[in-house]
Amino acid sequence: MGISESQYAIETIKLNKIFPDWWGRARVKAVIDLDLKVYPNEIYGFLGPNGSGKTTTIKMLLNLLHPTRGHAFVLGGQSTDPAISRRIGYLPEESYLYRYLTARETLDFYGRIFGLPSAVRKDRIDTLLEMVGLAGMGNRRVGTYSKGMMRRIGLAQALINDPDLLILDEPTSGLDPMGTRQIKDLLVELGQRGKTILLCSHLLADVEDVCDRIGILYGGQMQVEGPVRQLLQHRDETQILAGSLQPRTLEKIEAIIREDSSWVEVSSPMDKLETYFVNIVSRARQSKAPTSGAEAGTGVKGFLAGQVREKAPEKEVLDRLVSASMRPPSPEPDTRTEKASNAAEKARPGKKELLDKLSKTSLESAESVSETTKPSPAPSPEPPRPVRKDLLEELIDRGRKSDGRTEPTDSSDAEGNTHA
Amino acid sequence: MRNIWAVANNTIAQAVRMKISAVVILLLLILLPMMSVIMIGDGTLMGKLQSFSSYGISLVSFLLSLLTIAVACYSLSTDLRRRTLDLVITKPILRYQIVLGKFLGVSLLNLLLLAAFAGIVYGLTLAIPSLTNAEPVERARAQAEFFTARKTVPMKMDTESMNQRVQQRLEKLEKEGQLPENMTRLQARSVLMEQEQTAAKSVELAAVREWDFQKVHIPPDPNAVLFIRYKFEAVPEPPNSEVFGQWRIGDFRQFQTADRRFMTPIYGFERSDSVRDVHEFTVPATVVAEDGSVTVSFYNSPEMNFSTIIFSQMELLYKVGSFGMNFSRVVLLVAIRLVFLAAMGVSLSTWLSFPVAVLCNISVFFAGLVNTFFMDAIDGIGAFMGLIYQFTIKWFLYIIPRFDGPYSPAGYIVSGEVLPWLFLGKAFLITIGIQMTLLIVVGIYIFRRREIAKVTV
Repeated sequence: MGISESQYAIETIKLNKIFPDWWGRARVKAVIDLDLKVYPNEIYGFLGPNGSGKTTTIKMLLNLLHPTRGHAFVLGGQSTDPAISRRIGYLPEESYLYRYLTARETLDFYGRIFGLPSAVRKDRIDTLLEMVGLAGMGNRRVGTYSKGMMRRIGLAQALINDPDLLILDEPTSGLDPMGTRQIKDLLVELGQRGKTILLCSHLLADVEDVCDRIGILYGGQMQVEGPVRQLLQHRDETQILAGSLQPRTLEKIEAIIREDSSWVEVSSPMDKLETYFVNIVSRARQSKAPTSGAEAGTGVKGFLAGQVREKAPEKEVLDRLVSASMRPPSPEPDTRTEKASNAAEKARPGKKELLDKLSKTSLESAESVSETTKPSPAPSPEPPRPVRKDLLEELIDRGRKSDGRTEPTDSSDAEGNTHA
Repeated sequence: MRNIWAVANNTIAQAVRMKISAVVILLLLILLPMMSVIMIGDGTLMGKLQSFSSYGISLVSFLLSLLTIAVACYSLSTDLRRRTLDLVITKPILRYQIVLGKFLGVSLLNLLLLAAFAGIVYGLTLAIPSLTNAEPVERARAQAEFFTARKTVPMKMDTESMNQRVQQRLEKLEKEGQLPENMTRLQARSVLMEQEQTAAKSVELAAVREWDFQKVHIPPDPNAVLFIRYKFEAVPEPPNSEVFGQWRIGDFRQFQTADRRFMTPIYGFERSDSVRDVHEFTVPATVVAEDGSVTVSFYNSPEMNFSTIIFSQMELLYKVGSFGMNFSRVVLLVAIRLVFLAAMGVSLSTWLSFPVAVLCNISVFFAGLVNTFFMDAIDGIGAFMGLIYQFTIKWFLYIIPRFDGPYSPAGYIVSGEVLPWLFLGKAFLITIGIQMTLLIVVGIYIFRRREIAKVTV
């Protein structure tokens, strides 16, 4: 993720925001002398506890709030300029959507503001609804959606203009783990496609998985900033991963290591809870879904639609309570989900195509878009990005191990299915 | 424009889903047909038509005004409060487009509703005569006096000479010291004025009274007629409450011409009418002189009457258009009102919360409903209080639009009186051209400057 342009995608210069009280006295210093710089084509994680000024900064970037002092530039200009805002996608901290519009109408409304021709609009809406897993529910009022579903529509509207810069404020809040995982995958994908993403979150796991660079904000001031890898890597420790070993072998290895290092710890690696959850759910779904593999769909679509349809029982009940009419658009195969959940280096061919459709080519030719609406069930797998993903996973695992020594390391908990 | 339309569409989608819209629409759908059946007015066909159509259009106008106010104030302020605007504003849309879009949406919706419900009132009004078993005479009267658009020429009062006479009498009384002690000069003056006015309206026994009407320009039509509408009282009350009158109508100047050649006819007839009722008689329009002047005379014959007769009303009317034409002009008058209220609601809600904006808007609406009445009342108030009003309420009443008096839709329909284009144009210019535009400009100015996601700690 190098700097392809000399300009920053986002730049703030000594940005300050002070909220006055009713009498005009300074009450809250939300942002103090913030110099935020985000390079083009990078995924920047904007972190901080609640009330640290993340959302305030974003709102100043988008001119929803006026800076008390300092300047904020987006894509080299002001976001009030339609030429600039045309290239921005924004997901607010809550999905501020018109509750009386259906999902389709919502997307259509924003699409119209972006001046998309109606054919392109219709196509994109279909694609996006499918991508965020709401294909069968496009004609339901947004007001009847659960929070997670609103989040998905919020994300869809942020992508309607195929933005160069995505500003996402807590994109995964209210989403279930499957949705979270999906959004994270999507962000990585978008990042690969040269989009710049400002990801604002306090869910550290999300940020860790997708961001190139992070900055931690506290009290309105930037505390630390840098590449994720650099910030998180333990330079004085080494992790070795191997298959299941005999105790004898282990002893030998330990002996070898002790020659070099003062300490060594041996345990079975832990699954991330997310991976574990996704595995359990997809297995449950598989056993209950006789139609598995009957019809092809995009990977993303299958992933989400299936998830909506067949969750763990208690979730299902809740979901029915909330939305009686929720129905999958079509039976979806689960093979891809399985694949996706199995390992970090999953290929997402379906989503790739969706993204292709979203990309600017679709603006030029609506025909080519409709051609690819139904991708083949077995699309050629894209070259995965194992390097970075692996590194991240590794980092996480290592981090866990190093500071989680007191945790029980019972390997039976992991069910052993991940590495089967 | 594309963005304005998108916002307008969205606003309409929002407005039609508001409960108040459903309530107003349902209420009108139920009430209007019901009123067409149960309202009977004074029992005649004409009375029924008058009461239904005037109450009908007033109800439509009132309820749609309230709806406009509610929707206009709600739309933008709720978008701000619910933060839905946060998202919209980050798209390539300019802020003035949002304000205009909101205004356009609210206006369009209410104008559509107005057109629909005015159409219903119009249709029902047209249907009433065939639904009732009225006498042919009544039908003819309704046809002539209700289903028409007539221009009214009021009787001319020579106020200047009246004032002069009052002044002279007042000065004379003062000089002679005959002003009553418990009366101020102003009060004495108003008493004298009243006497003078009554005198101007009254016809003594064995006297002839003439009314000159000028600028009567009847559209060329061989069958054209003009109407004389009048109402009188008699003192003392005549037996069986009827007054006998000898009438003449025409261009009386022809009597003075040397050769006594008559270019226009002069009609004379006698009729007896009840007191305290409005009466009308019809004469061919040929009586009007070429310069548009015509005179009506009334002779209070001592052989048949023994009362002084006081005319409280004397007008000349002639048809200038159809009922449908007049009705649509009246609807336009209501439309002006709705558009103004929409602009005001949107403009106020760029910086006020929904309840406050509604309160302001409703206040202006109701003030407008009594505006003309108040203005007249203030002008008649005493010197000191008048001064206070002059500098407080009066300018407020002056800058807000008027919805009553000649700006009220019902009057034109009840009397079958034409709403002149000139008046409509003036109302449009002032209310839409100046007042509304000003409100929208101010609204846009405020909206462009404000912080959309304003946080007050």
